[in-house]
Amino acid sequence: MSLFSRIRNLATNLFRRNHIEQELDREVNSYLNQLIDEKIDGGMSPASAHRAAMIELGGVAQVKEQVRDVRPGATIEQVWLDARYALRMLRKNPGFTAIAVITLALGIGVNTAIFSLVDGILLRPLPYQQPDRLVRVVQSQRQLGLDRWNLSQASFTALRDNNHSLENVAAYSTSGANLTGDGEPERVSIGTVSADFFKVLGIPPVHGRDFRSGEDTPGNNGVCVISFGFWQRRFGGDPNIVGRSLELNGAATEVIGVMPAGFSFPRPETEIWTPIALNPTRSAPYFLRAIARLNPGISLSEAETETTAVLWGYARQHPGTSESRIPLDQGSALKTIVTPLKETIVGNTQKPLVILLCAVGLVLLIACANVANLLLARATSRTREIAVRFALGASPSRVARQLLTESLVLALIGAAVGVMLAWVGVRMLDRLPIEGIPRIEVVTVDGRVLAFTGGIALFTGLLFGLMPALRAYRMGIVAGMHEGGRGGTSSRRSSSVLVAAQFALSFVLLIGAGLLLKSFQRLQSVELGFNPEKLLTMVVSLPARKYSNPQQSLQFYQSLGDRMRSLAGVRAAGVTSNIPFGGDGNTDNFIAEGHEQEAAGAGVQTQLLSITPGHLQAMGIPLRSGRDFEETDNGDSQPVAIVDETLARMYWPDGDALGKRVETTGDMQWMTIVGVVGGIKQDGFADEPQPHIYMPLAQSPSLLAKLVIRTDGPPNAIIGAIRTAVSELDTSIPVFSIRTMHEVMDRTLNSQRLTNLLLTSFAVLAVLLAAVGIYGTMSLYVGSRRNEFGIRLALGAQPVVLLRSVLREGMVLIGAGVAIGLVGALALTRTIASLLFQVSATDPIVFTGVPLILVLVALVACFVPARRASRVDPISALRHE
Amino acid sequence: MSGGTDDLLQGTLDLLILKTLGLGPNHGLGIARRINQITKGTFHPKPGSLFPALHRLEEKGWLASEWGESENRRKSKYYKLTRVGRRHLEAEIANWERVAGAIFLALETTS
Repeated sequence: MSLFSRIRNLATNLFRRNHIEQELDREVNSYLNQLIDEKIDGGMSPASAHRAAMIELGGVAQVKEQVRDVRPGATIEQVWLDARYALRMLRKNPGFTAIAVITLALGIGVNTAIFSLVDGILLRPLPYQQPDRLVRVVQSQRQLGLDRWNLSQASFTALRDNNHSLENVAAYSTSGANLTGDGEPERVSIGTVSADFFKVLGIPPVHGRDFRSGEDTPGNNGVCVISFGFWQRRFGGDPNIVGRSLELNGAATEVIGVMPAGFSFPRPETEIWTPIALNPTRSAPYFLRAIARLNPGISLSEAETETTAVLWGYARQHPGTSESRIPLDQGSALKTIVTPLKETIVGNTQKPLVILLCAVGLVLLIACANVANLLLARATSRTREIAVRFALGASPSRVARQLLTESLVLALIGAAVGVMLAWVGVRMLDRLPIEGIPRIEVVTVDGRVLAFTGGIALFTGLLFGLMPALRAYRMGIVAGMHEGGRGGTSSRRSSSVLVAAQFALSFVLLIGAGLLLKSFQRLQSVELGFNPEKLLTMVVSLPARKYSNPQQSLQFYQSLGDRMRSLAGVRAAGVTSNIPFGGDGNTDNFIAEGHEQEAAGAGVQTQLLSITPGHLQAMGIPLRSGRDFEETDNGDSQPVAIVDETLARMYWPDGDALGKRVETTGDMQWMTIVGVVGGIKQDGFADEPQPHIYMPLAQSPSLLAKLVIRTDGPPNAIIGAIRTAVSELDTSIPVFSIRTMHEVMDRTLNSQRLTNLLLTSFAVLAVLLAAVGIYGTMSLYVGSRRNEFGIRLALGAQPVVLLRSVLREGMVLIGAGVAIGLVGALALTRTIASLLFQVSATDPIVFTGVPLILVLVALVACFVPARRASRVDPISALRHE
Repeated sequence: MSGGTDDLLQGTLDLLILKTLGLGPNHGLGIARRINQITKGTFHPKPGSLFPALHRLEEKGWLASEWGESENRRKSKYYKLTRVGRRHLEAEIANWERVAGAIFLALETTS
């Protein structure tokens, strides 16, 4: 048959359904009448002819049903009919429908929400041209302890000019700048970038142009490109923005372009990009991050090999740099590492997200088990209805399909509500601690997410609908009319299996959440080495033009410290180049006197900080021996340093560090150690102890500094007074990023906190669902044995005995579930071991606490039906039968 | 046709219907009776399998149907072979003979 006539038939069947039905009716009737005629002609009485004909026909409804099955379009039509029938059934049982829909909505909703996170952060390509060719390039020299290490201006220039595997390379660093001139002065986030920056990413400006090559050299870099948001916010989208001049850090800078909305690299808050003033002769410091676009067809490893060769060439030409410190001919480990840009952006969030996705998957399975249980319970009461359908000529597969359709309809309704929940949840994301989680701003519930949810809904519907449908199918095969209205033992066995599975799954989730929570608690109670209580930190930035002389900035910071210490409520104050957990630590190699040879190979890095006298006291870092810096440790006096115990112990384990010397620049400017202090955690709670070297700010000045103030009362109470004090010293100096030390530290925990919060909520949700599940199953159990209990009570059984027997029944299920869960948890928690801090993946406390909680919850859930069993009224139980 | 052999002989029933209608248009009961007659009582097609088969063959385009009046003046739906149906019948007969011959040979050999 041609495609055309097939479609025509389909259309006829679908759209002229009434006509077809009537015709079928007439056809079958005429057959019947002919049959009767035949029998009467054969000598039967009309009545017996009619009866005989009916028997031979075998049921009009059944014949018609069989014909309908062979007509094309029958399936579509049946699905439609089934769906409408399903909706009617669901409306007739609002209680059942509500519970099932809520359960499914929760299960599907959390999956949708987490998938939207996974999709936005991990799956979606970066919003740049051909993002799969974008890479980050870092240097690495493991022998110096420099696993991943940024580029210097000289090494970047060498890489840019000599490689053959990269289409474009760009370097950037981030900073802030003071924007003055017309309008409020403000602090803006700056990306300092090399000329090819936008070409690497492949995103052109929407207005004006991007940087030309050569604009990233000293003297030519007085231009900038601004972000769309900044253009709108500060200039109201002024169409004549290109060519306008901004005053950035006191220097006139011409706006040459505006980037499209949504472009925000390297930081979400970057608003202005200025060209770097590249000096190709500077082989230190290493502050440039490099991004590149691979040539078409070049793999990561090819690019790595090729750029490593370039780096070796550079090292050969630059003796005396860190790159050439380990001689190349003696097996130097100097190399480049080329990684996909996306990986470097989202790398740390990958594992927690995948774990969360697995967790919500488990929650969904538990929800499915619950709904399957509800359906099983209902199937018991629907036995008669289904039997009638069989009697009316429905085939077993037809009834099974109808029940499956009901499940799918239920799943789709659940999914619709779930999507709404997810949408609200994603909307509320910014109320959660999310600062610092990459790409979180692009997370939405969109078409892709909806497609995922649709798939999940179908899967879910099939999953929980299959068991009742199969049961109905089997029932059709054995003609279930005889079973009467009672729930068979098989339905109870199925639901027991489901409940045990639910507890096993909840167990795994609870263990995971328990381990992460314990790890988090361990992390937060780690010995920091400083006292974060009542500690206020803020950033003070001096305009370079006004404070061009290091002496001026030093004087400012000294008077700032004095001014702060004189404020009421301030116990101590100091100035430092960076604060712990600030994310901008400065590390470098160092040499300890008498250990020059080992230093080169040992690969030990030290944290370098410039501080004023009083800083250590303000931070609460204890002085172990020697003295703090003094005002007299300045540019004119002997260079001095304070080291921490970690460093002192490494080189002078006998405690004789005082008076020894250290050196960090490679040019033999020795600093004499005048004090030894306790070690601190510099970058994060989980840090290994790192050596620290403190230098007097007076001997290594800085324009950007952090002010640390220890207060008597609540730190936030004196922020106003501090601002006033700063502006009294100089009105043009902005003070920003005012945070308590706890706030600073919390930022580094956001990703973990969010993971914990979500995982714990999912675990609790799972346990609640499982509790509902066991409650339902035990109720079913008690209900099906109601008359047995009644008889036993009538025969004098103690209610307590019945109560106990029901509880025992429940506990058997829980026990099985917990045992399976235990095995599963032992296998699965190994995968989260890398996320745990000072907690074993088989932590005994978690592994004993969780079963206890579960058993307790289950006992409570079983108790209600158990008590019902012990209070059955024998008379009514028997009469009911 | 007897109930239990439905699956095995579905193709056979189709063939028998086509063959019957090859002799001329007929209605449902007529087809059933004719099949019974030409198979010398071996097959008793029941409505439960006859009607689905008729509709299936019509969907395939091998049969056409129209309402007419039966011998005892009852309105009946008459089925007749279409041109495509007739070609198909010929092909099926050839096929059947080949298969039947082969099976016959096979049974001969083994016994």
